[in-house]
Amino acid sequence: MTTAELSADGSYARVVGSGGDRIFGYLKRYKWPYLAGFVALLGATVLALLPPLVVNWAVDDIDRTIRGVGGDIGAAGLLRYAALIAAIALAEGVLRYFSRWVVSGSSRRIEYGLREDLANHLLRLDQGFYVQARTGDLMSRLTNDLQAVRDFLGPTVVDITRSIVILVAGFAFMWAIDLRLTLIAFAYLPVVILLMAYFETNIEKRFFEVQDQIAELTERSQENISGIRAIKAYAQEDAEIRTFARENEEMRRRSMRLGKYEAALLPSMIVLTQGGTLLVLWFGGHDVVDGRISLGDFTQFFLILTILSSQLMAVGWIVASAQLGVVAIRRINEIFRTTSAIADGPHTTSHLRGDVEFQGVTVRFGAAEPILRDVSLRIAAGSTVAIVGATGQGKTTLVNLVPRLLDPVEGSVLVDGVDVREYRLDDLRQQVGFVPQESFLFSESLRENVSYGRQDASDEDYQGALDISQLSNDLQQLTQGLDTVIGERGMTLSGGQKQRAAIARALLKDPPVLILDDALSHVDTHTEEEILRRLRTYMRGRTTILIAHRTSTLRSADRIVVLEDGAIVEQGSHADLIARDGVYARIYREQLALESRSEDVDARLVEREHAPDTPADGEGGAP
Amino acid sequence: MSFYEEDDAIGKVYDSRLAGRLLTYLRPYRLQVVASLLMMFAVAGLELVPTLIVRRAIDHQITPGQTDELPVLAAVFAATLACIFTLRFVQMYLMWWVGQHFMLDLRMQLFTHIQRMSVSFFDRNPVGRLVTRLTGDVQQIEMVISQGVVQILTNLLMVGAIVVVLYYLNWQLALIMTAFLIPLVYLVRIFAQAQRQAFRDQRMWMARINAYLNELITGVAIIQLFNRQRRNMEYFDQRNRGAFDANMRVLFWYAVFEPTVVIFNAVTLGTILWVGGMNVLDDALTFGTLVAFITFMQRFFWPIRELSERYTMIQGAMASAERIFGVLDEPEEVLDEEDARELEGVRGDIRFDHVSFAYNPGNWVLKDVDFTIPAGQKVAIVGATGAGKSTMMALLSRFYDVQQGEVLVDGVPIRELRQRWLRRHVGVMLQDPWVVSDTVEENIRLRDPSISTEQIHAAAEAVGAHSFIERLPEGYQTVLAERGANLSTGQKQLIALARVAAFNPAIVLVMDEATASIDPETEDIIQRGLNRVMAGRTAIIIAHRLNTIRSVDRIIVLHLGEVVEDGSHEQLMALGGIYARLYELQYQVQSATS
Repeated sequence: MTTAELSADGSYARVVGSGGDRIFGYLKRYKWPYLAGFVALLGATVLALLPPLVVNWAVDDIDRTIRGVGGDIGAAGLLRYAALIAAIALAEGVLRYFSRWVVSGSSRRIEYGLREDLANHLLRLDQGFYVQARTGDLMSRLTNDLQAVRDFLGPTVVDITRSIVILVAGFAFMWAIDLRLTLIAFAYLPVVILLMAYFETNIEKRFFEVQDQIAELTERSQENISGIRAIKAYAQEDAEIRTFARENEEMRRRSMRLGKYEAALLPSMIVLTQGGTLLVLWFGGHDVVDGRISLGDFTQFFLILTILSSQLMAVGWIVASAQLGVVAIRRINEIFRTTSAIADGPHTTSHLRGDVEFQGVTVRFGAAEPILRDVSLRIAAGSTVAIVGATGQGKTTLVNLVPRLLDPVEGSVLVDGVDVREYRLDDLRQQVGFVPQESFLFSESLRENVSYGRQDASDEDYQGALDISQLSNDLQQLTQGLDTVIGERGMTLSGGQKQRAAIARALLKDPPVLILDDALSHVDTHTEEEILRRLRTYMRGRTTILIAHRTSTLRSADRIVVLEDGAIVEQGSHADLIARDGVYARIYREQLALESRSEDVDARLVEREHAPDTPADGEGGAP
Repeated sequence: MSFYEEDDAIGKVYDSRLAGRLLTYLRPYRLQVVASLLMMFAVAGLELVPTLIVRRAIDHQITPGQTDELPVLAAVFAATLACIFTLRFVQMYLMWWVGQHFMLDLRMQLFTHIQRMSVSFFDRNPVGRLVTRLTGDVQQIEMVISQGVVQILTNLLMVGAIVVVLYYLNWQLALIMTAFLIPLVYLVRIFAQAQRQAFRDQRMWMARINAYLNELITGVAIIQLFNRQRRNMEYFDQRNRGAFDANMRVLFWYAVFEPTVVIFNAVTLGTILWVGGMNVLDDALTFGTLVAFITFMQRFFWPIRELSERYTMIQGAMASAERIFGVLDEPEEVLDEEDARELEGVRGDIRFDHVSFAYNPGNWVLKDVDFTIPAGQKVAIVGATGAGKSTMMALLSRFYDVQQGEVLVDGVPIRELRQRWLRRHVGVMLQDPWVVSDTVEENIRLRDPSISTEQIHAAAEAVGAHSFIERLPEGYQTVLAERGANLSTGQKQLIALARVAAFNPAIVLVMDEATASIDPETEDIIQRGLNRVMAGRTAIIIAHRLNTIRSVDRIIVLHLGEVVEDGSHEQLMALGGIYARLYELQYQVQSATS
């Protein structure tokens, strides 16, 4: 019922357009369905107001028959009226079905398309955006907010239109009977609107206060439960309960402030709409007695007012939903308006030599202190450079510039003599193998994860990458080898295993430029040695940039660059820098001392020697 | 927060056991609930009055051509409206109040219960799930109480009142109308059933979209680096398309349901007009009554329609209630014994008396572990991943109870001690320091009011955290970001160390795992802080570095849950066992690379 229809009018096609035009663009795309839907809605709504007219005729016919003035309606006549009402309803029903299916259906197509667009857009935004964005918030925008937009473009728009049409058509129908009475009946409308505005402003403000508190409570619960082991370890449950009780009480207070208005809204609407009925009873009653209108007219008036009231009752809900929709549209547009600072370049390339050069590169976020200041560095194709420095000196930022996870504010990064901003992004990144500090794997099979950058790899390539990364050793431990599904619904890998998988993934890409950002931090010393030894062969002919602490890694580099406070303070070969006895020599000595004092007692060595299948420690059992 | 859940189980709409249990939460507020119910009855009756006034006006004033009674009728009408407003407002406010208190109580009970659960409970339940229980699930029930139930009851009462009045006015017509009610109820049920399945699909797909989005967003850098936007979008599209199809099915039932009710209404209206009209002709019915019938008819059907809309709401609430009670019904596994006691002071003697422990029955993690650590001794535990090191630590904090043997502190089995008292005296330095978004000060004292500001400063100074804290924008009053994002890993560990020092425990447990991403300088500061925290206390360290191991008095080697070697570094080296081999291996690696 759905898929077929979907492809029939090709509505999977996506709307292009920037920023806030996106939703409008979609509306334009679906203008015909919307138009048809609204025409049908118009018809249905007018039809809905017709039964009172039929009742009017019937009442007048009966009245005349009773009084014996020019009319004789019998059972057959009444049945005809009844049939007429049913026929009108049938037509109304068909039109209603059609309008809802078409309008709400379009809104759901728009939801689908927008979600696709948003996800696509997100995948193209740069790291600068993700540093600030919170995952939960983004997810909420792609689900809750999109649903609010969909409801706004579907049912809410239908209801708004319906309300307007009912008011206008109702007015027209009533005017046809008697203008004076109509004006009286409508006199209370401004009061209704004022009251509604009063309620809306008050409710909205308090509603958002409540929402903020819900977020606060969520945050508190999240924090408490993720830290429950620490809380228990320090026996601080009671302090936590007290803090939570305060937030909970605040939640109740805010809700009660909202409750006052919420509780008054519906009763006010009921009284106001009934007030209209009272006016009609008073003035209309006199009109009938005075002979200005007939009893049937009076009845019709009365019934139309009932329809109007029930529609007005829904206005509160419609306004609330519209508000939600507008807020949601704004939140969604915020994402669309955020453009990636990393734009695609025109230059296509399929192979780079791997000559990397930083020219006077400065990076800073906003007005903060620069993370990198005027860094210039040339790394010849095929050489290996290690970047050294304490935490927060800009090492990661520097390597992020090469595959353009980030662009510098000043200066430029050149690969093979061409500014990286000139390359097509896909081409550039295809040439860079990158192992980030935090190894992220997808909840797919290990094979899919390793072949993430290259599906056409041969078995040999596979074996090579697995060997170098030493992941091959872990495969026996995994129940289904490479086909083991990992992540949330699968097997949990250790930090070291994850890092090795991330390394294999980068190696399989066969890139001319390889970047390892502290990629062996969770790997034990012995395995690290193994990996480094094998990597040496692999790195031949490739440009390699390493961020590392361990002395063995440092010694293996052709050149060492020392970063301090965002600037290069020393560079040269290991021997040169040791001879110079500067910053590097100090770092190296410290690190060497640390390693000799505190060389890992490598658990895995024991494991390998004595216990090939040690049962895992109880999951999360650590205090 | 229900992002990662696919437990899309949809509860029954009405489950007497659940409903009964929910009702017990209303007991403290029974006065308010009863008052609210009484007002509901009054409202249901009063809301019929305007229509009856119109009927009287038509029959006694308008048709005969009189207006003398109209002012009285209008006045009664207005007075009725005033009453309706007052009653409805008070009644709704009361129920809102009750709903809020209900929510407050339930959430507090749930939170308190969660705080009392043992660690194994948290092993089984992911954080997201428990957060959902505390927020979304509680809210869902509150909504039904403060809004859903009221609406449904008022509407049902109204239908009852209308039926009574209709039969009083004209029983033949009333009979026809009630006859129409039966097929309508039947129809609503059919639609509700069809819709339920569609809703279930819709929720399932949304959960899938959420789970996948989480992955897309957290892995966005990898996706970009590996140029895999297209393939990941294909996966995403499958889920998005699934949600769309489910959405369209839901829409279909909505779109069909509405017109069906419209036609149903019209047929009833036509029938009343036809039969009623003939009755008027036969003088068996007045115009006023006919108009009243038509008006009532409209009020008569919408409660039924609304009922079907509230259906999903109630269903959701029942499912939430079931999940919440599921948590509340989890028994506390590690309980204080009735005569649990506290000791005067703690010396810090530790004894594992032939302890065996398994997380899952039969799968022993610790086997007959037996050793004594005299007060003030520093012991390193060495062993492979899975040897049972962290389990041993957890047992000392009594996060779990041992199945065989006994853990003793100062010669007293810890089962006989009050848990929270015990933990107050066993300080644990976790591997991954826990940081809350509060001030540095509160992070050190963990909101425990019994620890003074002076103690906090002294503790920070002792472990060498003072200088970096002072450099923070607002010193000890600096508010830390979510998960301590504005601190480095090393700084977080220093805060955790200060925490241990501030709580001044007799026994210190340290989880000292590899921290390779910390630079040597910070590493050094932490090492010094650690030494100061351990000084003068009984300390057990899960050691990862030879440095730490050399500084302790004694080394216990755990292997496959058993103590295989026990002694000083020199003794174990002389023994030539696992430890010695391990040490040799490390030494070789070191010299090979130097």
